[in-house]
Amino acid sequence: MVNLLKKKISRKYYNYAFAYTLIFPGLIAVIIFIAKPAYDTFVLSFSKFFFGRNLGFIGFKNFETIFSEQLFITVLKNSIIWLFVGSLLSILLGLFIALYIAQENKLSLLTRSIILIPWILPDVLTAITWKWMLNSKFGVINDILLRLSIFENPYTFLGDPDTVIYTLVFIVVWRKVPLVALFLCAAIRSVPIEYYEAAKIDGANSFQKFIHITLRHIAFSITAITCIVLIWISSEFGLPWVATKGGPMDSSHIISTYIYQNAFEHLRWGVSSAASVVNIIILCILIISYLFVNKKTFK
Amino acid sequence: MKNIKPINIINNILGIILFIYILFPVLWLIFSSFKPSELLYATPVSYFFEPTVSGYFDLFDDGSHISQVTAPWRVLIGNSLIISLSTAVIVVFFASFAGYAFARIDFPGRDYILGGLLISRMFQGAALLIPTYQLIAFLDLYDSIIALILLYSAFGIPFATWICASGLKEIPKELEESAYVDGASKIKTIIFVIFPLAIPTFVTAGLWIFVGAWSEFAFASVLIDSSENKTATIGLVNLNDQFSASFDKVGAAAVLISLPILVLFTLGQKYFQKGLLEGSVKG
Repeated sequence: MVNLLKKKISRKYYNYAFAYTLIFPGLIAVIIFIAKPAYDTFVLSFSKFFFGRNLGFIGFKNFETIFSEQLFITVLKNSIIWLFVGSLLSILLGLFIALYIAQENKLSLLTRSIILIPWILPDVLTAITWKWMLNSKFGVINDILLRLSIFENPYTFLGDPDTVIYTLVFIVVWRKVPLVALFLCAAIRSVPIEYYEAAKIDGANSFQKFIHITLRHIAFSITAITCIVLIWISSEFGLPWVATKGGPMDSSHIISTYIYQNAFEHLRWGVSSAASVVNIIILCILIISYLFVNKKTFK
Repeated sequence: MKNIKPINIINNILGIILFIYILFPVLWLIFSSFKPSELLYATPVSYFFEPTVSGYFDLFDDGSHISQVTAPWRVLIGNSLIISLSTAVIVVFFASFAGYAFARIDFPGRDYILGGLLISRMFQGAALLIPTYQLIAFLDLYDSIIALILLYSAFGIPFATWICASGLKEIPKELEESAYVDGASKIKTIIFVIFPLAIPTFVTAGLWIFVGAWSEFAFASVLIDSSENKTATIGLVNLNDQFSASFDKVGAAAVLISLPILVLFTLGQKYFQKGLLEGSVKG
């Protein structure tokens, strides 16, 4: 009897050891290549740098520098537009598309099968394609708008400092909206059909059905996908960088392009790390709100 | 004759607009890559021309000036293939075993470790560039494709582990137990009884990791210096930055880069959607 118990306990610990062995390689990789660099970013943001050489601790000096820069204020403003206008448009347009592709007709099915294409193509390729299409001289978009007499003169979509960030938002929405649409489509299709039948008997019109049944049923999905889109749009770097490199005249920098340019073109590592910390703090706020929502949604 | 309702017409028009919105940029890219270079820079834009494949030929002609801008294109594609395939294999190998542990063994700290992995997935990006650059230099892996394989594997493991864990959970426990009764060892049971049933899950994870590594830009641009070690994505961006490179070559390069992804996507459509929904609902 005692022996059997002992065997059971040792078996239990054997199982634990087995589990830890299985997860060990992945865990180590994540610690070395993600957790450690994230920690290092904090340390670096409090260090003085001279052309990539660390000259020691200088307190909050780097943060004072970035917040006193006019450019960083532009960066924060652009990041807010990028993040919130981008997410809002992705969700609204995504919901609209989801309602369309959730139908059972040939065109909807066909659209559902190709909708992920913008999302799986590399982000730099998206940037290059749109940059080419939006070119003021040779771009097809200007050409069509001129031919239809919507524009009188070609417009430099990526060259106007006042509007360039919105052009970038438009491009990133094209890239992110398929994900939202497909996700919400799955949610819409999971609404039990009986609800609609019951509403029909009660004499509800389509708008009432949408508000009271569809929207209510997918509300949680909308909240969850909003958080996911916020996180994904905030981490986007390749697309804005390849499309404009922050230009013209630094008017389209968002936080990730600012970090990259300061680190690898201006070699201002301290400043770049301080901006990274600001970026990580924003991410943390988004992630915490996501986890909070997630808990409420799926428990 | 069936009478046509106006609502159906509106519905179909909306569908066509949506279809154009999604596909037009991709089609325009392909269209432009076959345009002769003198017509590419003509105003107004020309829509009718004799298609040419000279952009594609120039990319693969080692003597052309494009090959002096970037490395020969076959080298870049080769690098990208090596990196993406190795990353996918490494990640799926480790993630499958880790996924098994998370799915089947109730060990202390399981939920916290899994949560930590998921959160780590969200921290990848520009914020980690400088420390990663230092780390790679310290490991003496700067300008080596091994550095990219290591990094992409580390970045991919959390997501892949999650996908594998949720896939393996769906395999009935009884199968495993009956294998033990037959006297098979634990590790043998996992490899020969459980894993064959989870192949669709592994394919899903592998596809996602492959596409992620194939498309990655920020780290590849910082950690690789010499042109013969660059990836195709970096080559494309360098080509696009050159004023001397006409868009037929850029377009050709872009089409070649999207080709493997589009092929994988067409073949594995159902896996992609599965991964997307599972991966994003919960993480």
